[in-house]
Amino acid sequence: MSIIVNVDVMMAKRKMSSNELAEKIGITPANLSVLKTGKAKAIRFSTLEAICKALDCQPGDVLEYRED
Amino acid sequence: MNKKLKIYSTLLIVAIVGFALAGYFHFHYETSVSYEDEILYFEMDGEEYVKNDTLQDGTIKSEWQPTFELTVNVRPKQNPRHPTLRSKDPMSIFPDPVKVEMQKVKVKVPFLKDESIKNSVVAGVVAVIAIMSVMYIWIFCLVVKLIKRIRRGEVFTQQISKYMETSGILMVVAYLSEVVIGYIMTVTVLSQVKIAYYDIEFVNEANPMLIITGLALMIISQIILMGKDLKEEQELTI
Repeated sequence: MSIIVNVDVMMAKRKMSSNELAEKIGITPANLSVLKTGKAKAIRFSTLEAICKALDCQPGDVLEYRED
Repeated sequence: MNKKLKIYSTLLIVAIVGFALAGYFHFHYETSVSYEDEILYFEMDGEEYVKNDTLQDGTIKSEWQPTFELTVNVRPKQNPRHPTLRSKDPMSIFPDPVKVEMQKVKVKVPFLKDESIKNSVVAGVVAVIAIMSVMYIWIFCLVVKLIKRIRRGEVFTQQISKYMETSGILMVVAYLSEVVIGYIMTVTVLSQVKIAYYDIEFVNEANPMLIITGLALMIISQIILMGKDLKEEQELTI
């Protein structure tokens, strides 16, 4: 998929664990794992907003477009 | 739109329109042959069902000629002189033709004398019965599996779609097989039997609901496949 989710990069930068982030944004660790591994088909604006808030970043820091 | 879905829905429309038209033409049949036509009378070949042969020592050897019974569709020959094909209007010299419907008659046809042909016909009939039985049992098993899975809560899955599509295809094949078998049987009867004043005609006796249900199942299978994709997308939306 050409949209890359860089949540793990941002988590490493903020030194935040998966469980902690999952708890902060209100999703299950399993769903966070789906997001991190790039298996997710879509992301809700509310989830994106929560991630940006928890990691103190912009949507562009979390999502990246790369040509196949 | 899914390519298969397009094909299946087109086929369903064609089938429904075809049945509607076939039903209209089957029941609204009028005589149309010119007044000069002669009614031809056909006789059976005088086949004996029991054949008696006198042997050299004077004993009589009886050979039973096996027969099979068939129901065929007949209708009066298209001749305006035939009393059943004209209305009885005393004021009219040439009364209007009346509409006639197919009639069913039972005929007892002796098996062919040629042993090899007879054996091949019997083998063919047995093979057809076996294939049709397997097909119907297969459909039944698929439908049972389908119901079991749906009762377990599995609806939008690849397997359900596959079961539906396969049972639909089998239903369509079963319908087409019935049509072909019916046609072959009519041709076989026609080669052996003639009925005076009546024409033996091929009528599609297969249940049209079979092909309509089959095509509907094939369409539903594709809709379920689309539903499966939507479900997956919904499940993988974080």
